[in-house]
Amino acid sequence: MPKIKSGIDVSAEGDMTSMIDMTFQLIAFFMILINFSDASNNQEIKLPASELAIPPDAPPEDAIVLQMDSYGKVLYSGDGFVDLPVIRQRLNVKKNLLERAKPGSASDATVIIRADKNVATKYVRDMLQMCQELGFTTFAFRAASQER
Amino acid sequence: MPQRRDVKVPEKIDINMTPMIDVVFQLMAFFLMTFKVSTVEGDFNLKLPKDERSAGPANTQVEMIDVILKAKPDGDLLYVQIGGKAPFGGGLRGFADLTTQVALKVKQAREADQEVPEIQIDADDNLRYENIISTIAHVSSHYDAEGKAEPLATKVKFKPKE
Repeated sequence: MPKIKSGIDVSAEGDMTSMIDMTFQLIAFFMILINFSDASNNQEIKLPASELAIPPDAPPEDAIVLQMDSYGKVLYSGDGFVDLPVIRQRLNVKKNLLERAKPGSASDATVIIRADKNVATKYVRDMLQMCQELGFTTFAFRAASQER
Repeated sequence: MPQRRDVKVPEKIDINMTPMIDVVFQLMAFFLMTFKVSTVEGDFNLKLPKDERSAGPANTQVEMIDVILKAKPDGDLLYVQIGGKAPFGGGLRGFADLTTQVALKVKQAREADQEVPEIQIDADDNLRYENIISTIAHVSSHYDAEGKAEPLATKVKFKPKE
């Protein structure tokens, strides 16, 4: 009968140090690159590109972001794309809130227009006219910055 | 004779790394799934009061340049035209000609110590919006011979449609 040798129990332990180092470096990389300020920007909207679109130094105070898809529907405050008359009611509420907080602040508020590059001009013009009728006068037409 | 000391072998302390590695990988998965390569966005800032929109320039000395944008049935740009002049054509060439004309008028106004002309965009309803942005970009600044961006027209407005 063959003899069974009773050997020492050896557990195989891999060196995890280099893997953990690399993983932490990857996490640091993603943490630096993550940008929560763009989270509200709808990624389905394809902005027109321009070399002369200047990235703002600081976000404007009391900014109202209106996002328009290629069909002329508008997204405001994350409630889905809706028609312009619905937005008018919500903007009116916003304007009243701004005016109540500080009279005259509606005209100082910047309306940022993020419209799809393929939308018909008519829809953008109607949106602009609606904002003007509500008393908003400062507009920022947003475009994707392009290298020259 | 010195006493013999008992040499203690240091014990290896095993830290359980499993929960940390679990958390680290969960973080990795979160960042990987939420990661988006976002493009840099810039603005064209315009002041557009309602009263000025439909009326002409308040100061009659200020020249108004009507930029007409005609669209093809599919929404592409057919041609760019400055009111009363021959159309420039579409595409980059048309916009380059527009910039040249606006730069000329701005230069003339500055030399005569007058206000810079205002731009009024008159675009067809079905024109793609990207052409409006291109127009605003080409009338509001241009690159000089040294490659520096130089401002042109500062007031741009839209012609109201009935």
